[in-house]
Amino acid sequence: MPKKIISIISFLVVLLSSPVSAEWLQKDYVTFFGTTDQTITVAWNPSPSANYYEIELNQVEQNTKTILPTGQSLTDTQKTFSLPKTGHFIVRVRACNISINQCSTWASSIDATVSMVGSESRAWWIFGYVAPPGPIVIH
Amino acid sequence: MAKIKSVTVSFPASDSPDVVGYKLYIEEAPTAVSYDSLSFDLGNNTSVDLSTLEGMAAKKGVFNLGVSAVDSTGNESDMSLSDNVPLGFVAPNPPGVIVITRS
Repeated sequence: MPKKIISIISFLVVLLSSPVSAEWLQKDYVTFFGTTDQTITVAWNPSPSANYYEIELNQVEQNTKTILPTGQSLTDTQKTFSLPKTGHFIVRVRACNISINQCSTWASSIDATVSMVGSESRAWWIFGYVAPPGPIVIH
Repeated sequence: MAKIKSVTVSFPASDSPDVVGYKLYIEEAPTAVSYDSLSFDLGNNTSVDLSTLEGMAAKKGVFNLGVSAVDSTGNESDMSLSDNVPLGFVAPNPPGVIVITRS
């Protein structure tokens, strides 16, 4: 089972402007802000018995859960990806073993007992804005 | 009928995966363009001839422009901006009557 999920995210920090229920906002999450054309790298501690890992993105506003399509190929302990749409996302990671065909329980980025921001144990999530168009050309 | 010169605004598409369209915002300078400015829904188009937009006819002056990307739930991106663009969709008065003089 992965012990810690560590965020390595290079998003810019801007003001929150998306409607999210008060229940969510009362939590002490570190929010990483960015646009959905940017990439995010999430890392975690290795699990000794794991052959591969799976990552799930939970879009909070629409309560949709998407497992990244890595199959059994994700053997590294980090993954870089882009958000599939705008909104708040919780990241979950689990360790899997091919020979016994089983996976661990999910380690969630909003669980401060298993999540980290830098070297600090902190819960975190991500907010992705729509990326703006390119520069205007007039002719 | 007078001939109005076309002015085309174009921009590269947003790289976000769930963008469904774009909005163009126009504000007369020196007022900064904002999400409350006069706006036009461009659909999926990343270029538009300003002279064909309803409400732009007979406008003349210096304008600030902005374009935003819109996702499937209606969220809008920051705007890409172009400030102090001179635009004029008013044709000058025609010359006077043609007079042909024979000598």
